[in-house]
Amino acid sequence: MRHITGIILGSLILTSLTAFAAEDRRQRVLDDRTQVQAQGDWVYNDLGKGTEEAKRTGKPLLVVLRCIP
Amino acid sequence: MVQANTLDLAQFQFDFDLTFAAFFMNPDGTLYGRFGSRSDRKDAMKDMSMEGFRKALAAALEMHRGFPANKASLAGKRGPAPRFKVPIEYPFLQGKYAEKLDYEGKVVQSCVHCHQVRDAEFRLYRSDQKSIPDEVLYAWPIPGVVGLELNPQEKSTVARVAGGSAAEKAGFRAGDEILTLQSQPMLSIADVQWVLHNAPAQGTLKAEVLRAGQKTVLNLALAEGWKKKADISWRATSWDLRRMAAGGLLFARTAGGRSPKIESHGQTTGTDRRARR
Repeated sequence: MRHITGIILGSLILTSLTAFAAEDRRQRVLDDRTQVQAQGDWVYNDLGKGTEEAKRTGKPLLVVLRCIP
Repeated sequence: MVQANTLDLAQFQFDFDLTFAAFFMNPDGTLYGRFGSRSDRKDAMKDMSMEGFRKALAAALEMHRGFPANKASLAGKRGPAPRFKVPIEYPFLQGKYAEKLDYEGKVVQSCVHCHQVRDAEFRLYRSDQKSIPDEVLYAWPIPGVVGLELNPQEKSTVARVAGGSAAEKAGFRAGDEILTLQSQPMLSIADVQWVLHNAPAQGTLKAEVLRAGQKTVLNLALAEGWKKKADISWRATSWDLRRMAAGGLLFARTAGGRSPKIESHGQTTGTDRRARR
């Protein structure tokens, strides 16, 4: 019985940690967009808009592809 | 760009195992150069530096000033037409992802990660019961496979040349700045990788280097099997193959070099699992 209780408790903790990690990751993705857009230095996740801006200003494009950690 | 869902695969061809890559471009789509290299699982910055990035950016600005007179020399920087226009057209990603991220819902799960493009490419061969070709499996070779260790603090300058290597036989020396490779201007280690990535299984690459203020032409001979010298174990896309071959175990040599030890077990990410379904 003690073993079964231990397994159930362990599973609950693992499930809670997984859910917490998923929510944390989601928040980081949302925060990334908010923060980068607030800085105003980058066109965020919109290649078309970036290209139009480069054409308008005559500047070259720097396109960065990155994973949000 | 923080997702690859509808990334233009004709325009953006790069090492999809990277978590950071940059493109320097003219607004008309002409590519000046790439940035972003990796060869180590634990140390993502081993092959990159902010100083190297700064120098690549400065060189890209210089190329932009020289555009369009230099356009012909940049033609080789664009790759062949891809099999699929965008990642979500791959059979194993099709129908599972939308064109845009779902910021109102499950935003993390709605993202096609760059490594999934390579995963999807591998699965095309596996589903046809075909071997993955060397040029696909050993994509984006780090210059070390031909004996060139490049300095990450510079654009494409040789730090060391391995003894007995193809680079040594070609006459490369430490301190050489690679100006062009196959007539393409080099702005970064990634640019060198691009040429190696597209190089044949056997052949010769022409390099123009700057040595003590003088330009010198070197011919780099590529012997059969040269791409297979690359260590691909750091790549997320190799972990699934490791899982199949060794149950996910990564073996490494012990200090004495006589017997293997288990260095790590493989990982399978949630996105990998989703892509397989």
